[in-house]
This record gives sequence, C-alpha cells and structure tokens, in this order.
Amino acid sequence: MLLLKIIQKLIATLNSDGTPGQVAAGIALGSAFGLTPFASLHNLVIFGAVFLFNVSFPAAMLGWVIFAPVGFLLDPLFDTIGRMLLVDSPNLVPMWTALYNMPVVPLSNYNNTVVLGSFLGWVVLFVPIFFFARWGVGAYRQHVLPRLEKMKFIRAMKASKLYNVYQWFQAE
Amino acid sequence: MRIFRWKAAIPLGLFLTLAGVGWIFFVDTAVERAIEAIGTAIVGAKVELEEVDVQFRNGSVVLRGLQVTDPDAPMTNLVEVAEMVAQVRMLPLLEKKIYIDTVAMRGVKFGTERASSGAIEKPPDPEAGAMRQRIDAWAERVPIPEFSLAGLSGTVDVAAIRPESLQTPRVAQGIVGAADSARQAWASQLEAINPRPVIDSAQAFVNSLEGASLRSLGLRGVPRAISTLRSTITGITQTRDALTQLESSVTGGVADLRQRVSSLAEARAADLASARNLLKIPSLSAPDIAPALFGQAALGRVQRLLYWAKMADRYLPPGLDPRRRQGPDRIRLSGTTIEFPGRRSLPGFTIGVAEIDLQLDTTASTGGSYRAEITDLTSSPSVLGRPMRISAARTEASSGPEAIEFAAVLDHVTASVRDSVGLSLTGVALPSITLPGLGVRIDFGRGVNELTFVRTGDSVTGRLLWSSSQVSWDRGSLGGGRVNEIVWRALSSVRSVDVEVRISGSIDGPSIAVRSSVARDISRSLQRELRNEVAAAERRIRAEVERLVEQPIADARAQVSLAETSVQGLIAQHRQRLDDVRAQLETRVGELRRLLPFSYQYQLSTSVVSPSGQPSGNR
Repeated sequence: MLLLKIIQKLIATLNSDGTPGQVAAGIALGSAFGLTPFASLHNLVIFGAVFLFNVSFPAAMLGWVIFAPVGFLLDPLFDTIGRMLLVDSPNLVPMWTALYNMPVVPLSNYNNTVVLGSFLGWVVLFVPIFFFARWGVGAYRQHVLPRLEKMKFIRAMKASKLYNVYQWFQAE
Repeated sequence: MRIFRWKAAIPLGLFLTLAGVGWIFFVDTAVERAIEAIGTAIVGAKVELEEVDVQFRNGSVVLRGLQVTDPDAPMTNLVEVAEMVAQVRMLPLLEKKIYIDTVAMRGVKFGTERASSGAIEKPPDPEAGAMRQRIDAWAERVPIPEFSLAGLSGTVDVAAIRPESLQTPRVAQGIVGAADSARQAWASQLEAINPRPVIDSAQAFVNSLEGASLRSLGLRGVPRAISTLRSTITGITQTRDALTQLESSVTGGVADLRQRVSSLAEARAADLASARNLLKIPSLSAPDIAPALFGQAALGRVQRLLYWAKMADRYLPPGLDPRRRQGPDRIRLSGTTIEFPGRRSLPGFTIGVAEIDLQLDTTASTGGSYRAEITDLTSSPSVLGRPMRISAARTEASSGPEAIEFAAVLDHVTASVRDSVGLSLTGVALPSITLPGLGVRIDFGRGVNELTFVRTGDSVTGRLLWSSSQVSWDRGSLGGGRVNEIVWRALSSVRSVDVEVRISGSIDGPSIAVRSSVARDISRSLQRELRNEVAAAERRIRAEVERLVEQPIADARAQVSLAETSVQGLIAQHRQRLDDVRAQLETRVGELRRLLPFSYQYQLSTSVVSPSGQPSGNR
C-alpha cells in the first residue's frame, strides 16, 4: 500500500501538486541516490535535505528511480574520474591526506574512486537535471496532460471501472 | 513560498533517532559480520564468530568463538579462540580507524577440526600469485647437485658423453664466429681509412721538392709549397688519428675475445661436472654431498621464509605513499579505495599490546602453556613510528619440547626495512627426510630446531639448523651392491646429525649453502673405500671430455690470434710509413722556410698563407 501511495502521490505531483521548480529540485536531489552508491554518508545528508527543504519528496523518489540505471551505466566513467583525482593527481594528495585523517570525513568513503567520481558527476549534473526537469514538468502539464485527458482511451478509461483504480493516484 | 519544511524536522529527527537506536541494537551483528567478511578476505577461507559484544561505555569489544579456517585444509581450523577481549579507542572510529590498546585472548587452540568446510571461492590474488611465481622461478634456478652412486656400481661408459651435450664446443664456436666477424669488420674499417694513397701522394710530393731552390720555385712558389706541405701533414695526422682509433677498438675487441676464451675453462669444468652427473659419478667432497642430500628440503623451507618476508612487506608496507585496495563488494562497481596515511595521524589499524595465553593440546609434542605478546601491530608502521615486536615462550610444558622461544622485530618504519626473526625449539620432533639419490629415510627424532633470519633493506641473511642425537635410519629404496652397502654402513652407524642451511644475498634471489655432518660422514666413508674407483672413473671422464673439447678450444684461440695479428700488423705498418713520410714533410718545410728572406719567414710563422702564396691574415 505504501508503494501505491507513493505512486499516487508521484502522479499527483506531476499533475498539479507543487511548482515545477519544487518537483525539479526533488528530482535533482533524488538523482544522487541513483547516480552514487546508495549506502553512502552523503546520501544521508541529501535525504535530510529532501526532508527539510520544501521540495517534492515523491519527485526525489522519481529521480532515484530514473537515475539508478544511469548510475550503473556511468560507473566505469565515474571510476575513471575518481581514479584521475585520487590516483593520478599527485598535487591533490595533501588534500586527500588531510581529509582522510579528519573525523567523520573518511566515513563518507570519498576515497573510493566510484564514490568520488559519481558524487562529483552528480554535483556537475545537478543544475542541468534541475532545469531539464523543470522544463519537462512544465511541458508535461501544459501539453501532455490536457491531451491525455482528451484522449478517447483515457475518457473510456475514466468511464470504466479502471478509472476508479486510476483515481487512487489522484492528489488528495 | 517557504524554503524550509519545518514540520518535516520532527519526522526526520524521529527517523534518525530510530536509525541510531537500531544501529546500537544491531551493532554487535554488524561488527560480527564485518570481522567475518574482512577476516575471510584476508585469510582466504571462512572466518566465523559465535558472538560479539560491543560495550561503548568502556570501549570494550568481546569476541567469542572465533574460528579461522586453514585455507590449505578447509576442514581444520588454523586457530580457534574461545574468548578475545579488546579495548578499543572510540574517537578514532570517527576517522574510520581502529585503534586497539590491548587485546587479551584465552582458550587459543590450533589445528582443531571443523564441523563444516571453511572453503570459499577465492578470487584470484594476482599479487600473491606473482610473488609465488617469482620465488618459484628463483628456486628453479638454485643449483642442487645430484647425488647418485649408480655410476660407481658398473662400468663407466664414456661413449654416453655426446659432443652436442657439452657447452664448451658451443661456446668455442661462438668465439670463432665473433672473432671472424670482428676481423672482417676491422678490415673493412681499415679499408675505409685507406692510408696508402695518402702516404703515396705525400711521398711523391716530398720527392718532387727534392733539391728545390728559390730560383726553381720562385718567391711566391716557396710559401705556396710550404702551405701544401702543411696541408699534407694535416692529412697525414688525421689518417694517423683514425688508425689510432681503430687500433684502440681492435685492442678492446681482442681483450673481449680473450676474456671469452678464458671463460672456456669454466665451460670445460661445467662439462666435466655434467659428464660426471650423466655417468652418475658422485663427488666425494662433503660440500657437494650436503646440498645434494638436503638442498631440496632446505629450499622448500627457504621458499616459505621468503614468501612470508615478502608478505610482511605487503601487509606492513613502509612509507607514507597512498595505498590502493579493491573497493567494497556491492551491486555497483567496486572501484578502488585509496588510503592516505598521514604522518601526524593514526594508522588505519593498530593493536597496541596483544597478550595471548595459549593452552595447546597436552598429547601433542608441543603441548603445554604458552604466553605470547605482540606490540605495535599496525597497518602503517611509518605512521605509528615504532616497529612491531612479537615474542612467545612456553611457560609450562606438559609434553614434548623442553623449551620454545620465539622473538621477532619487524621494523617497517622507514623505507629501509629491517626484520629479524629468531626461533629456537629444543626437544621438538624434527622432520623425516628421504635422501634424494639414495632413497634412505632419515628420521631425526627429537632435537633442536633453530631459525634466525635478518633482513636489512633488500639483503637477507639467515640460518636454519636441525640438530639431533637420536637419529634413526630406514634403508628405504637403497639397493644392494658393494657401493650401497658402504653407504649404508656409513649412515646406519650415525646417531648424531646436524644440518645447517645458510641464506645470504638479495631477498629476490639469495644464495643457499647447506652443510651437514652426514655429508662429512658419507664423504669420509666413500673416500676411504671408493677413492680409487672414483679416481679411475674421473680420469676416464676427464680424458673423454678433453678429447671432445680440445679441438674447438684450439680453433677459438687460433681465430682470436688471427683477428689480432692480421689487423694489428697492418695498422702498425701503415702507422710506421705515415710517421716516416710526416718526418720527411716536416724536414722539407724547414728547408723551404730557410730559402725565404727573414721578413717572409716572420709572416709565414704568424699568418695563414693563401693558395696564391700571399699572407692572408692572422692566425
């Protein structure tokens, strides 16, 4: 039931709840869960941010779902980026050494090539994801949603008992 | 629109509190799983724990029922510890570092049986594999002579020595080829220098000036002639320099060839030894017999010693360079995790003092109580700044050895690693060894087993000693016949034996020397009773080898002499002629200068004369 609730909330979010900016920020923050290894300290911080900032929580979940496969696909690239920074950049070694010997920081696993590479990848992609998602949500609400509602199939659906099921996903 | 969703703070706080409480409840299990996973990865076989109790208040961690599987025998535990209490510092955990002040272990047992197999599917360890391969390759290169008495039992068949199996003819043939190539190369270079036309032209010019006067040459002709003479002298000098250079090259080349000719003596000695082996004629000298009998057994132990010395490097790396290891196992790519040890920080893992009380099986020869202490065991010795020390001694013996002492210092603080290990076991059961080539089995019984091993940087020295006065012998596969009976008589009367193995040299390829009282006894007996037979057989072998290598050696020497004399003789001749003609040229210059008025002579001595005969400027 919890899953259904989340899906219902998600559709409601896309359709009407929250501004496109709130939804886009949720997707951009949630993409961190998908792009970077999930069991990392920074994801706990981002999770707190999703809670505390006035962004869409279901959108963050959507961002996670969308970007999880992307993260898997980009892992070799993230590994290369992390290796470049951690292994092949002698000038950065003093900084990494200082961070490695600080309290708490090593718990973030920043010294793993995939974690560092994917985190930096997410930081770089955060703004493009945000703007793209904001544009996407606006376009969906302006162009796709009215058409969907006019489609015979959807109207037939609305008329059928199946619509009752769809109604589960409507905003409260 | 508000930026913060304050009403979510309470659920978030609740969530984090629940997560924290859950972690405290499940930390024991988490630590247990972590120790099992890390231990299994390090050992290469299952490491299991029955229970872990983490007490944050006093920073203690109690491990119960630790079983470490022997990776080579999965149904046996390498070690089993009933209880282990560790005092862990809490603050370094925030830096993801484990600093254990003290560890106390009790109920430690070795070699206990397991209820289920502790084998795991091991991922290949390329580093350890490569290390083992290097050590195995070194072991294959260590020459261990063969000891066989078969050749003394029958007739020596020298026809079995084939010329193609000897290395001297091959080496000699190589020298012949090299000398021939060098001679041809030098001859070509001499031809390229070609001093004859230079000499002939200079000689002709000198002759043409014979009896020349101011009148015949004219006032302008004399300086011109002097200038031409000087140019010719320059040409002569250059040709002579080229010859000197060639001569130097020839001298160096000939020296190399002569060096190679000298090495034929070594090849001949090796051929003689190889022929002796082929025909199973043993050396009767004790220094040759000892490595033949115990070399293989010693080599196996030295290989293990070198492997562990290298492994110490791997797990206790000196220096502060970043260290890489594979990232954690997860569905996503593991990546590489890099550690960055810092000088003013704590190492990733440290045990300050570990005190271990062992109670070994009372029925075994090593049964009794032991006390061991390990101090400053760390993953980053350079960060800790202190060497690791291990000591162990038997506190109470129930059976077996009278004394067991072990001490080791592994100093990996600086790049120049200094390790020293000392082990002394008195009254311990020593191994039984089948002597290669004889088939006789020696059972050392109880005796002394000592090991000392010192590593300083890349060089190692070490000594292994087995000594026993309770030796017994089993005839094993030793055959009959006079020779074998002599050996058996010599061996079976021996009760006291010592075998000493000395290691020295580079850690990547040390040399091994093996000495043994048994070898001395065998040598004495064989020399007493078989000296004449061995000497006769050796004479025949030597004569045959000499016959086969004599001609190739003579050919090599002749070819080197030819290369030396043919080219060097020509060079000497040419140089002599060049010197003669140069002297004549200089004489002519003097004569012509005297024909000129004083003012011209002065100008000639300070100016370069143009081809027209006029002084053209300052030098």
